[in-house]
Amino acid sequence: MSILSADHLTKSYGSTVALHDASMSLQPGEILAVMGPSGSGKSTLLHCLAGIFTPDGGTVTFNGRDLAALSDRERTRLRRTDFGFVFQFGQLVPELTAVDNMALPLLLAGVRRRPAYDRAAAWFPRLGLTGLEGRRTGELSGGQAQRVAVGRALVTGPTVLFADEPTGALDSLTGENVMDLMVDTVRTEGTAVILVTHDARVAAHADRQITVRDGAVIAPEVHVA
Amino acid sequence: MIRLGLHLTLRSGREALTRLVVAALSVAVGVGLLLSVLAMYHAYRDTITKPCWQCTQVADTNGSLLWNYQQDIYAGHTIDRVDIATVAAHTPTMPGLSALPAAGQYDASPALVALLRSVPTDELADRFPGTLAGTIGPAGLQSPDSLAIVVGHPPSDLSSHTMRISAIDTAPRGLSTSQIYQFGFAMGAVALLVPMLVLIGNATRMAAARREERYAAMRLVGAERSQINMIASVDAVLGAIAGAIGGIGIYAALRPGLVHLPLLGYRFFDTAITPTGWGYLGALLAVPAAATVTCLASLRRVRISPLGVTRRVTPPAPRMWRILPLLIGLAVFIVPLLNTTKPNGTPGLAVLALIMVMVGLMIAGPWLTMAAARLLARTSRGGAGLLAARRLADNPRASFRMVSGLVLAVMVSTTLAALVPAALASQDSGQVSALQNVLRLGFNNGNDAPKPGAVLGLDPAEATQVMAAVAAVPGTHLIPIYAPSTADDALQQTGPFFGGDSVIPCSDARLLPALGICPAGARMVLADTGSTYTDNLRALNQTLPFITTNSTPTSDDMAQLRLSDLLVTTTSASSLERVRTALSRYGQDIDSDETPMTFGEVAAVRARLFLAIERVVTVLVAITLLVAGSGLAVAVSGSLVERKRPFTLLRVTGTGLATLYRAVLLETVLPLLAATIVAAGVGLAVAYPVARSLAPQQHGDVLPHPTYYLTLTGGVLLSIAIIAACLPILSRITATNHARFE
Amino acid sequence: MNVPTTLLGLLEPEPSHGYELKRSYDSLFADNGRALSFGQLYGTLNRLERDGQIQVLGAAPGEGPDRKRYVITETGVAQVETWLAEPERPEPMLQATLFVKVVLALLSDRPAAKYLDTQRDAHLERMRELTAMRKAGPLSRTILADFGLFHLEADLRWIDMTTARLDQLRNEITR
Repeated sequence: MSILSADHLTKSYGSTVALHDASMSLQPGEILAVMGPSGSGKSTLLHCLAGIFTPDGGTVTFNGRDLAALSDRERTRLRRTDFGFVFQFGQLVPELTAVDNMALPLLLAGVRRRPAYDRAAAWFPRLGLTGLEGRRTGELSGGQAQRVAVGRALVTGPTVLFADEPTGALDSLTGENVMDLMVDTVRTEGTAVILVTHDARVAAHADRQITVRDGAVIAPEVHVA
Repeated sequence: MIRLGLHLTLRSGREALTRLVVAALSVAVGVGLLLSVLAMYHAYRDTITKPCWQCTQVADTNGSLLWNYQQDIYAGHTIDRVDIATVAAHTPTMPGLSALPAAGQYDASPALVALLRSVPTDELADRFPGTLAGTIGPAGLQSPDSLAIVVGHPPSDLSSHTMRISAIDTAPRGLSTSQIYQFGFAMGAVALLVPMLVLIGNATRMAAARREERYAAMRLVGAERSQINMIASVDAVLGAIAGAIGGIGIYAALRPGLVHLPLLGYRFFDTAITPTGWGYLGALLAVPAAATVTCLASLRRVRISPLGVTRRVTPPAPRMWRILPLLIGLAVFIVPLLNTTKPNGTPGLAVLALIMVMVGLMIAGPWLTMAAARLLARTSRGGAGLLAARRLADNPRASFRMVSGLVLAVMVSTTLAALVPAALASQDSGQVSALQNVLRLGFNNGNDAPKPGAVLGLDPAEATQVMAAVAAVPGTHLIPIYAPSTADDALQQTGPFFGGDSVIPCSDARLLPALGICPAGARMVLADTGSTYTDNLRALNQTLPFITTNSTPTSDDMAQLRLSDLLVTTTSASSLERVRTALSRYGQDIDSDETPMTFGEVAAVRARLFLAIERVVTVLVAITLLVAGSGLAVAVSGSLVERKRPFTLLRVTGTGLATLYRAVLLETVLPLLAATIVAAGVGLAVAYPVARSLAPQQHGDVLPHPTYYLTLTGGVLLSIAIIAACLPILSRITATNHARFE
Repeated sequence: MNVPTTLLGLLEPEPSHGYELKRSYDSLFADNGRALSFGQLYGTLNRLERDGQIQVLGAAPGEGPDRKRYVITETGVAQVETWLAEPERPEPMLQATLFVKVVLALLSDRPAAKYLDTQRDAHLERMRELTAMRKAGPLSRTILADFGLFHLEADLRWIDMTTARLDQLRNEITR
């Protein structure tokens, strides 16, 4: 019983084939690592799954609904309520403070100011960011910014969190800390995660992994005890 | 969402706030100037629609009022003087007066009342018999500076020539020049509006790339397109509203100055100078609306996806067709001028064509920029040239947009600078004559067209009285000009009588050497003094001297001749006014169409219109340059801030600050120069046919005029100065210790 | 390093003399481990023959051991197959074995990429266990787990890069 699945996706950019016949599925609350070398199409797969890109062929199904059948507006709403995103960097609005950024998805979803900020502020201690609420993005360290991004992705209580190389810009230890924090939090929240990474140690935080190579998904067949 | 937008705009740190302030300031400058133009236009409309009681001309033999209108003059200022006498009940009313003055009283305009009090009575007050009864209100005056007086007389005091009327005209003056002014205001508004729109556009687009990144980040967390549009609009509207309010403030600051701006040669009434409620409403509603539209339009051109900003595919290089609209606009403007004999053609079409020329220039700009960039790439060797050429070729549109306002300003000012001196030169208003300060009185009284063979002028008895009155003023010399007698012996020799031939006594002529020297032994000579009626000093100078050694002596008896004209030399301004005062008693003897004026004053009246135009033009060019300069400053600093990262990287990797300065200067000045040269050419092309049709043939080429070079050089230097003034930003934002490598 | 199965793998493409076997073994794998001694070679071959994984082909009695030609049996092929397909237990110092497996798979036209993927999955599975261990703490165990994780990660990198260059490698060794 998967919540998010892709069936025979194809996607090309001009003459470059990014995905051909990629299929996968995600179980509720599961952390799935998507691995593969650069340019293998793993980010394209993520963007198709999140409804940011529309695949050329195949279907993406979320909770039984075909994403391609939704309007841009509905997909946007879906991203706001059911999906969360953590990228390598650059996803925070630079002019805003940490707490502003964290409250932004709630405000965009029409939550009133006071409850939105209350909910956002409640995440700071959970993420070990107490006292940094008023900092602007530029005044945060890389690890802190990533933790704010994690909080912002989870503040709306999404069903699926999309993480694309979430520790790609961090050193090993900071990366491990961010990963530990993220995994612990999604476990508590019951959020499923699509974790795109080329880093095996990051992928090792997942429950299982699939590999994208040359636009196709290679799922493991044999499990070794 | 609006609150979120406000929050984002107001609390997003220094950069966003700076952007808001700059946008607001730019809008404020534009709105302030626009309101000023509107206010002046309103005042102008108000003035030209004032009732013209001076124009009263419909005689009615059964009328209740005797009406004798004359123009008097004091120190070069025209005084509207009307002498009236009531002959029946139900007298008509006059604008600005509740009742006409009774006999022995006069009503005067406030400016004249003040003047009457401040100058010696024998210079002015003595001209008006009676006592001051009241003042003429604004309804009857064009300007607070207007000098006007209504003098009441008993009917017996006014001569039989006096017109009898039953109503005073209240229709506005059919101003022959009003079309020129309409054209001027329309052109001014266009010339001002376009750079202003460019300025506002630049301000709202400032640091757009940074803003778009922010919007992309918001799209990612689920902001809908409409929410982004709303947030962007709030940003733009906030700046525009702040700007509009600031603009009203700027207008309020400018307004005291406007009151003193003699746009038409005189000031407007204080109360008339207002942009009106509609003007304010327009500034507060239309400008924010326009800003929002500009902002949304600029957002449309970038696709903001949740993954970031994907600009549309690199735009293709501008093509040659871009110069077509410009050429068509020029053709539309010039061809009617060449075809019709009337200068100015149809103002409507000309304005349209002018707009087209301006728009065409904007369209052609990117292509010109690219052409210039290619030239630069081919010729430059240094790193700066290469950087600049690369940037220009990469996005000629953006590069040209920065300088577009200024280019338009250059075009407009070139046109005007080339046009106005030509127009003025053709009017010879700058001429000086030896007769400049000589007063001329004409006595062709009777006012009607002379019957063939009729002898005009004052009879000797009257002439003696008038001459005695003038001669009584100290410091005057009189040169009488007589109409020759039909039996003149000399005329019998020279041929049939014609009006230009006059008799001048040699002894008097000697007092004014410019008239010439009589042949030896001559007592009186025949001379052609016809050109004393001209208002063109050049024409007058060309016929001087009237008397030469070849002039025909005549032996008429001076005491029998009728006095046709009188030339009076005076030694000072006050004696001039005293002469006029002395003459005022003989007003009925003096030709009623002729005010006793010096040749210089007559020429000044003629030049007034053109001087007024020149003033308007100067103001307009100054404002346009100001607006365009601000636009340039905003655009340059905006583009520097936007490219902070690449500049910082260049600097970190060892590119000298001087090289960066040169690159920025080059990439800005190059399109400016390229477009300026074309704009100047276009301006000349626009001005040349007009100037040609204005200028008399004998003047030959009227272009180019030194003013033109000055304006052009001034404009370019100004813009380079502005760009240079923006450069220090570069040093600050690329300081390596501020560099962040994300 | 599994010498018997490696020799089986080398015998699979075609029957061979002991001396030739040693030469191929040394040229392919000596850099990887140690050159094969004749004693080790013939001892192993005898054991394989005894287990029925190879047979001696047309040997004239009395001739020296180096005159014997060996051929792989069905049992031998099955043994090679199983060994290649089965991922190694992910633990440090695997490189020699993994390398032999890749080469043998390529030599015998077996799906080397698939074997590597399977190995990769096994490695990741082990990394998941270690990650769970390091998260459980205490720090001493975490650090120990990290040691294993980094080594496995190194293996994984090697696996990824080898996977990407299998075609080149095939060309080189089957030349």
